[in-house]
Amino acid sequence: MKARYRTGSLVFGLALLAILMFGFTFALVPLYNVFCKVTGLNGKVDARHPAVYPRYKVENEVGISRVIAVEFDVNRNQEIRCEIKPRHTVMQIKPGELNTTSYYIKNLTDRKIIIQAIPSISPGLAARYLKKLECFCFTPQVLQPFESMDLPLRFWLEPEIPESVRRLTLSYTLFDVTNLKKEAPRGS
Amino acid sequence: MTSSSLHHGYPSQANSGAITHGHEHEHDHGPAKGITRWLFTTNHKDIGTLYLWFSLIMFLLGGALIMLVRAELFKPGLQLMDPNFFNQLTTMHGLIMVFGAVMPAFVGLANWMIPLMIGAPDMALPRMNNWSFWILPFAFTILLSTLVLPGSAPNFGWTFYAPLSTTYGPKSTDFFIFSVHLMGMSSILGSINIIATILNLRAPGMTMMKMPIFVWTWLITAFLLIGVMPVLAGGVTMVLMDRHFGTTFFNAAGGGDPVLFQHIFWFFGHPEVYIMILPSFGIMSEIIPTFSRKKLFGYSSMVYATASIGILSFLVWAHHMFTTGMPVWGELFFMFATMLIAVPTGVKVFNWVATMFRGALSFEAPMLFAVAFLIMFTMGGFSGLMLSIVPADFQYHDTYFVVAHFHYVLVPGAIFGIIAAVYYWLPKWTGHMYSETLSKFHFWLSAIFLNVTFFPMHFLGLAGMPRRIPDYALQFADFNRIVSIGAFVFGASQFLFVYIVIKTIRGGKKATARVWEGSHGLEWTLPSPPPYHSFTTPPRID
Amino acid sequence: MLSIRLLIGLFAGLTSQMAWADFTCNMTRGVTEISQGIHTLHMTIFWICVAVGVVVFSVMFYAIIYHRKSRGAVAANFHESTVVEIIWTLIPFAILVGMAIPATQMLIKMDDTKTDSEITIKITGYQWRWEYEYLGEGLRFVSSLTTSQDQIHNRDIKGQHYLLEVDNPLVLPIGKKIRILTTANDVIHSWWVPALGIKKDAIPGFINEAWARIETPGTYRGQCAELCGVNHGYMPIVVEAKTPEEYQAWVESKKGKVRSGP
Repeated sequence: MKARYRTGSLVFGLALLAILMFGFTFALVPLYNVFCKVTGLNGKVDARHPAVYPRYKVENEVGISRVIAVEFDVNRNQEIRCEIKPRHTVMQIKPGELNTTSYYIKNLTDRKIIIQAIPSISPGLAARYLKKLECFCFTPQVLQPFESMDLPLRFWLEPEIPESVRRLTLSYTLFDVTNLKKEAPRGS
Repeated sequence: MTSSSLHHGYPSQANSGAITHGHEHEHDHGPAKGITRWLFTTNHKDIGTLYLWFSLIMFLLGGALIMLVRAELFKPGLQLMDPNFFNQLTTMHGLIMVFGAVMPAFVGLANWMIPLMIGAPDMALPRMNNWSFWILPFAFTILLSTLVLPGSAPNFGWTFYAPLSTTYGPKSTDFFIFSVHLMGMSSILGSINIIATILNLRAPGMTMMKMPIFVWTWLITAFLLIGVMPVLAGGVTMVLMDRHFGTTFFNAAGGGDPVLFQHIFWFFGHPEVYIMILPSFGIMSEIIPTFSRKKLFGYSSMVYATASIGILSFLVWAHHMFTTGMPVWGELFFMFATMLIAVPTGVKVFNWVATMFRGALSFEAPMLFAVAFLIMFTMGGFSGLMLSIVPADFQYHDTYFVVAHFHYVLVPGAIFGIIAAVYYWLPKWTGHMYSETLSKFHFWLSAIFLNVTFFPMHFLGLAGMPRRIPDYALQFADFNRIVSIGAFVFGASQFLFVYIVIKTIRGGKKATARVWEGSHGLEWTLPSPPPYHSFTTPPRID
Repeated sequence: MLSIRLLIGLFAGLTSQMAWADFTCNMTRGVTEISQGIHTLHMTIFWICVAVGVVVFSVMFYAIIYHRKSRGAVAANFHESTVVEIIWTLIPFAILVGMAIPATQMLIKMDDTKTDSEITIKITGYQWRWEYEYLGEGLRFVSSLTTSQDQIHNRDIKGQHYLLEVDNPLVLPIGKKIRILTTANDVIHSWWVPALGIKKDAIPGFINEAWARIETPGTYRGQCAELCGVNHGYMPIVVEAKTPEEYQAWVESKKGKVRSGP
């Protein structure tokens, strides 16, 4: 069959395509961050950076009559030898109100450890409405041998949180990241 | 003609049938002699033969592993092995059957039959074809070596979820990853070859809508393979990265998610199971019209239905993940999309039945297997439909109900398709008829005992027996005993198939070119066996 | 014909037994509204599939018997019909829509977070045991398989609840909405109790939720439903549902026991 193309230009075109596709995969990293920001798709793990608290006008926007139970839960991954207790196990939260609680963490070992708390929220659809102003989960925490700390958490529930949410659980899992090569994951 | 077989010489060009006597004297040499023939062949018939033998050996090996599993599951309690070895056996059984038996068998059939069916002299890229095959023995040596080397073989199921495979996987996991990369390369290269062949080498006059359905189903399958094997390669590489290069794709500690693995795997995994069935659909569309002596009902619908199934297969992956905690709207989407696949699949089943209806049927071995396919694959389809219903799936997921479902679509579906194809085309390949009596024994033993093996699994799953457990509560004992007995007899019956195949290669009643009274298609215009190089001059299609 | 009626009668007899009895042949009806709804959905879909199968296979068997060449059948010529193709595309589609409606309703009901729950239990999957925490009660304990190695290795007779018995069952009150959170400590596990109609994966680093309102007191057994390593088959679940008064009493006494140590 007579070739309807020139081999050279075909090879050039295919090589260019391969390079472009490789570049595309690299570009996906910032592209995904943009995508998640724009669509608000965060699922169960909410954005790991401080949010800005819009000072809601109490009468207009804060849902005074509405109260949502927020449970505070902790898990320790694998054999992490660390004690962790939330100061409150459950708080009755009004959407729009800025709230503060804390977690007591103690390193039970005689070595320095670095822990990373990873949040998870259930029900998943409530996750995007829980905003944190200050959280020990934003960065890895270094604990010296036997050191204990009270780590604060300042958060609010956006008033837009759906009516169907009556109770939500904020659960932290503590991971030992002392040996993990990477730092905390980049926020957006 | 003295007995010619798949391993000995082919009739030379000059003595071959009407179509192929041409002036290309350079092809008169025939195949090379000895082992180098098989190592360096670029001939689609030889390569098809290599794939088919490879897949038969893998089928027996994968079957042997599961016989050990069924021996352990014959009674409650641990009798024969520790739970870790049990997990290795179930994992390797899955990997070998999927990647070593079913897929290479279909590729072997594609290699043998596609050029013959479209009137092409060979595949578009014959040297790459050779390499596509020879990667596989290397890949499987690496994978199977993990069973005999010190340490545990892969023991996390063929689905190798993270973090079981990442953080907790044995050292052999890296062998497994390398092996999967090799298999993936083989599949991708093979698919490129198939697409190039089908699109470019059809005989003049053979438009796309005149191609045999087997060619159509392989065209669509090849696109599915190219679409998803790279995803598997990506997933498996991410597992390697998490294991050894400090990444945390599937580890929440670094911002990752174990469920991400499941999305990536099943985005490959679901089209993969359609890859394992579409060629079988094509085979049925060849066999049923032949033995009904009636044209396939609804050729265009069959093409469109197959294409719809191919496209839909990309949209349903999360139906394997209903219990992971998906939002409701996600579960609803995947439920609806999965249910939708029943429509084109149903259309195909109805078309096959309509082909049989008011035909003039005869029940040689290929047709027996085809009818068994029609009934039992459809049963597998029904259990699949039940599984798609999300609330019910919460009770079925990860139980023996799922095992029953996929074995009904894979064994009477894919495997019977392959066996039917072998009986159908063996006379063409070898020039000898197989023993119809022996083949009927093989059929009835296989069909009956596969039901003895897999039907009770529905009950076991509904009664609450989870998958992948080496030992079970007492209420599951009776059905497990029946299942194990069924498995042993089914497994033993396959040796009869091996005997029949070898016997037919070595000799038997001479086969005509047409072989079957109702057969149509270019492959039946060639002598049985066809010359080493066939259709060196393309035939003209009206 | 008599033989056909006989076959139908036999079939109906067998399957109706399977449909209405709580055999180890069929799914349990369970003790929650959800599990019973699932069972009904399951049976509905099943019978629809049987009906379709009977129709299709009847046509096939008819052809197999009466359209054989050996019987003198001569093949007809038809090989396409757009009308027929459309009909047997639309009818299955309609049947599927009919199935999807109750399934959707059930799924939405199961997703209900609107009614508040009265108790939250956090369940953590470990290799290879479960840990139950009653949030707000300060009660937490581990639940492990108690079947002996002797029984497993066939040195002793297997008990009635072989592989389905634990030291510390999860005790729950009937009649109250219970919220269940699942997570895991190491690999993915899955918490499954058929009688409650709940199966939820337990994923390390994440929590999932499900809910149940148990109608009937009793003991309900389940198993881990996600391959999690060597002893995946050896980490069962036992739920004991008690009346609210018995439940309260149990909670108090358990707290005492847990505090004072094993």
